[in-house]
Amino acid sequence: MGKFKISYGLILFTLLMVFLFVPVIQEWGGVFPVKPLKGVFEPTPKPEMSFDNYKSNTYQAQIEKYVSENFGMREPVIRLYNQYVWSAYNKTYCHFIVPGKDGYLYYALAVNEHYGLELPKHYKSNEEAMKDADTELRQMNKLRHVLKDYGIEFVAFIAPDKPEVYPEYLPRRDADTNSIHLTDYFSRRMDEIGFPYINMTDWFVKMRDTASFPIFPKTDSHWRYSAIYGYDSLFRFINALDGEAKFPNIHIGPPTAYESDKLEGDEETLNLIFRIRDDKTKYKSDITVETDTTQRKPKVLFIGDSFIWSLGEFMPAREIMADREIWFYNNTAYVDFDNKTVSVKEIDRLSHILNADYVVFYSVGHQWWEATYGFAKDALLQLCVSDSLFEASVTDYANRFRDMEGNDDLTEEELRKNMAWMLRNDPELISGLDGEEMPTIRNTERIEEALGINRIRNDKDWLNALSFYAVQHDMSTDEALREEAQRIAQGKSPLRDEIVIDTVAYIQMKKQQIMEQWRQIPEMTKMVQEKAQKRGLPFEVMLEKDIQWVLDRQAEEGKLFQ
Amino acid sequence: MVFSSNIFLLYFMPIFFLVYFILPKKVRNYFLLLASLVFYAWGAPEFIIHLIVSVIANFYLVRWMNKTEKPGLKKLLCGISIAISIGLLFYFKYGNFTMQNINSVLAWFHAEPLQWTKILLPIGISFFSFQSVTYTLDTYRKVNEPMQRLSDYMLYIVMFPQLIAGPIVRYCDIADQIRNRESLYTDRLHGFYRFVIGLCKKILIADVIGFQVDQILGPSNYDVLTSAQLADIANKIATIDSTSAWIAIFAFTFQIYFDFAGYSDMAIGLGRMMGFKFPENFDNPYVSTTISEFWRRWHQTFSVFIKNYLYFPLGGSRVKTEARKYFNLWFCFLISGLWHGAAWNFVVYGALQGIFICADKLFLKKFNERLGRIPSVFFTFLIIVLTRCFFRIERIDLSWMFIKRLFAFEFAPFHFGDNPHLYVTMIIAAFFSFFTLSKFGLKVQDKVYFTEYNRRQHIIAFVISILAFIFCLGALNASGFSPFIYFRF
Repeated sequence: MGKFKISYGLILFTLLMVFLFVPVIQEWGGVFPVKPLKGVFEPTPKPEMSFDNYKSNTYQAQIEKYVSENFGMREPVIRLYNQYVWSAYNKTYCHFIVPGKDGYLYYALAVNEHYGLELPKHYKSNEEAMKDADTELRQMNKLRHVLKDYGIEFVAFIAPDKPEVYPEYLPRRDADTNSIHLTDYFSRRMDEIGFPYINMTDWFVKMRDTASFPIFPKTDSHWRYSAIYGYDSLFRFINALDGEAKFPNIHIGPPTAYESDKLEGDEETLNLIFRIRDDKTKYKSDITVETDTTQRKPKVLFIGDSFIWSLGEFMPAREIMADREIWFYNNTAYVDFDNKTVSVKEIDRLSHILNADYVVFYSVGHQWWEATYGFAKDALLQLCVSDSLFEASVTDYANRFRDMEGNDDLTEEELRKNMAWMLRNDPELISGLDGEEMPTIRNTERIEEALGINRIRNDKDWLNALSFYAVQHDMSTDEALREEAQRIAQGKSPLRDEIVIDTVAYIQMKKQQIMEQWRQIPEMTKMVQEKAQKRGLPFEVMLEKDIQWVLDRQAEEGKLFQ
Repeated sequence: MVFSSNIFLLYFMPIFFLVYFILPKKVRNYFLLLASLVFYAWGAPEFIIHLIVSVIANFYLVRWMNKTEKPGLKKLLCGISIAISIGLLFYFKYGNFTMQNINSVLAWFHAEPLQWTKILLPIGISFFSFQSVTYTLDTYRKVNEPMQRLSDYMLYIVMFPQLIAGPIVRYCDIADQIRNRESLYTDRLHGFYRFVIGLCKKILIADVIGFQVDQILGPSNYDVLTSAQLADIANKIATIDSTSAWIAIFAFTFQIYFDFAGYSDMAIGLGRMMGFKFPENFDNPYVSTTISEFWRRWHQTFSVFIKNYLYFPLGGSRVKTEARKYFNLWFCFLISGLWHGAAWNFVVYGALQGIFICADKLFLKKFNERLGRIPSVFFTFLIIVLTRCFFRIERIDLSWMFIKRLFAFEFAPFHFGDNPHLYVTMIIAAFFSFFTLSKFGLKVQDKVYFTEYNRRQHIIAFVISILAFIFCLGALNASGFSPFIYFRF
């Protein structure tokens, strides 16, 4: 024992101390290669310590959170525990994923919706939910009516939920049988009022037993390969409407199975050590698009959820559409095929809407309680209500509500702000948009301007010149387009005549602009930092190299100025 | 700072031990004191000054008390010292509760309520206040000489392993170790193994169960809840089915044991790494055959404190009448209940424990003996489980409502597959709670906790501890961070 204390005791204790310092060493030096964790999360910024935040304990809480997201060897220890709870209990800490039977993964909200447990979280009763749905549908219908005046079709698309297609693998829940399913209600009401829509659920449920491929992958809550048939049905459905632009005919080849090691979808976000299953089979098809030079291809604006992403992956979207824009949850706009993102609030929404031939609201079944993520009411305001009418309505409601209890303490400005918020939230309070009748009022001046913007947008040289002008003057392209449209409307000479594009200067300015943008995005900075570390380059050099690559690619595709 | 936090596990602990063991022995205590102050100041920045000032005041008061020959002055100084410790405890812990009740009475008489700014409870105040009291009284009773150095006394009070949740270390138990202790490599390794055992109890058992208990019963600390959240909890309790109710209260019974015993293991382990031998705090309380035995096994250092510093001064069992003896017992448990929290539910909890203790003396113990060992263990455990309702649910009306739901016999079907992680963890918790009912279990426990290991056993324990530590770190960060229950007391 005495000898042991000197030799093995010392060795083991030294090893223990080394072990305790491994996370710190890894954090500082990145000694061991680790597989990064997947999934979306809001990274905690490193908190700055001050006497106040220390005294109030906020610094301690923030640094604990920051450390939990950044300590060395975090990735393998989390994967180890995730693997344990998955293998032993069929459980995951990824809160939006629910494991079903036999390794099937489902989206948590979709499971709740299937069992009738989701709607009661948002509404006190079925009646309240149906009332909200009726309001939304009425606004959607009004918007459709207005858009038709400008040759634009507004349609709805209900994507299938995995629990409806594969209910047998669902985890057990105590269902609320009294709760309605809003997709059923929306479908019935859209049938009643003649709103054009397509509900893919029943068709996919029927297809599951005959198809040679899975309708949903076992480990993803989104459709993947099968989405091809969903989009094809949507295009055919739209072609049957009266629109001028038509989707070309698409021929889908037979599904081909292939092997791929790449983890996809929800399984990736579980952050396990081992794969859920060894089956690496994936599917693809050769898709041929019939070329018809006499037929104009459509420009489509999609508003909705993640069920649109498979479009870009499985279909040659550029061959099918002249332009494709996605407003993801009516929040982030993917403004061209390159998935350039910008906040929907920041773009000139009216001109973007009026640039489309078709506006498609698409959403998977369980998210229909949020239809249309505020798009319908906002678009109605943009199209129908001029600034002066809106201000007059604000004044009108401010006068009506000024003496109401609770408003006594508000300043005039606060009261007007509240009224403006109320009207944006419920545009049908504005005279001309109210009632069951279709709106007759129009925001004529802004619509003219937006149409003018779109004329410029569709002229490539003109758009390039304005993109250059925008970078030169540190403004967005949309702002430059609007300035140009206003000049033309006022009878002034267009900016285009004065702009001489200096490509070298443009690239330099663009580089600076992108650099500043990327520095503002923590995920982007982290990604570049990791890449720089891997390649042994300074961060600045890596950043410049990456931006140069992006610009080169844009130049190759003739999109440098967009 | 808490032991099951990333800051402690990844930075504080490694850096502390590295520096501590590099430093020469004579300065280690100073470093330990500095680290302890940092440890406390990290979690309770607003109270560190209170702590330091009260410790300094006590140190000099007790020294003066020890020096003076005048019995009256001695008594007075002893009283002042205790009043400082207990006064601070009363002000911070019971100030809000007292004012709330005074205002309730005033409201009953339609009088204006008294103005009072709500005060925050400093973590660990109940523990370090009690340690101050033991120091004062042990010195007063001449059990030990007072400390000669302020730094030593301060270290006794604020030493980080036991500062915020015990064990309550009596001055007489640790006085010699502060100046003179040895930490062999095997002690350091044993200490680490013990720390990891505690960490596993906390993170892999108590936190897993606790998360589910919160899902069923809502959060435990009602002070921070809005009235809407409270109404939601009341609604949950009113409509809970009996199956869920029993699962929840059994789960909580295991949660609180593994949470608190886990913390004590960690404190004892950290102390041992530095050469301290802290008293044990738990001795398999759920294998008790009577409620009296349970309280000898549960939070032992607290029970000893109450016995020595409250029960005996009240006269203990050497009193004139039987009624007074039972009153003394019952009163001690009433105070124990109140120590756990400044709310009426804790008073009821303490009073109930007191009643069962008296019942034990009167007839229950005999009844249990007749039942036999195993049935009496489960009967006692059932009493513990039921009284825990008043511990977990911080409103008496809701606790009562919950008990009614337990016995409403409206059972919903049980599905193991709905939450296998919870049920398996509860089975593991039950297994280890009752493991020492067998001789084999006792033997294993003694081997793991209290005997020296040979080389092979050390290597095995070392590897298991390292793996368990990694596993706990994964659990802590995969499932989120949760504070310890006993810090509130």
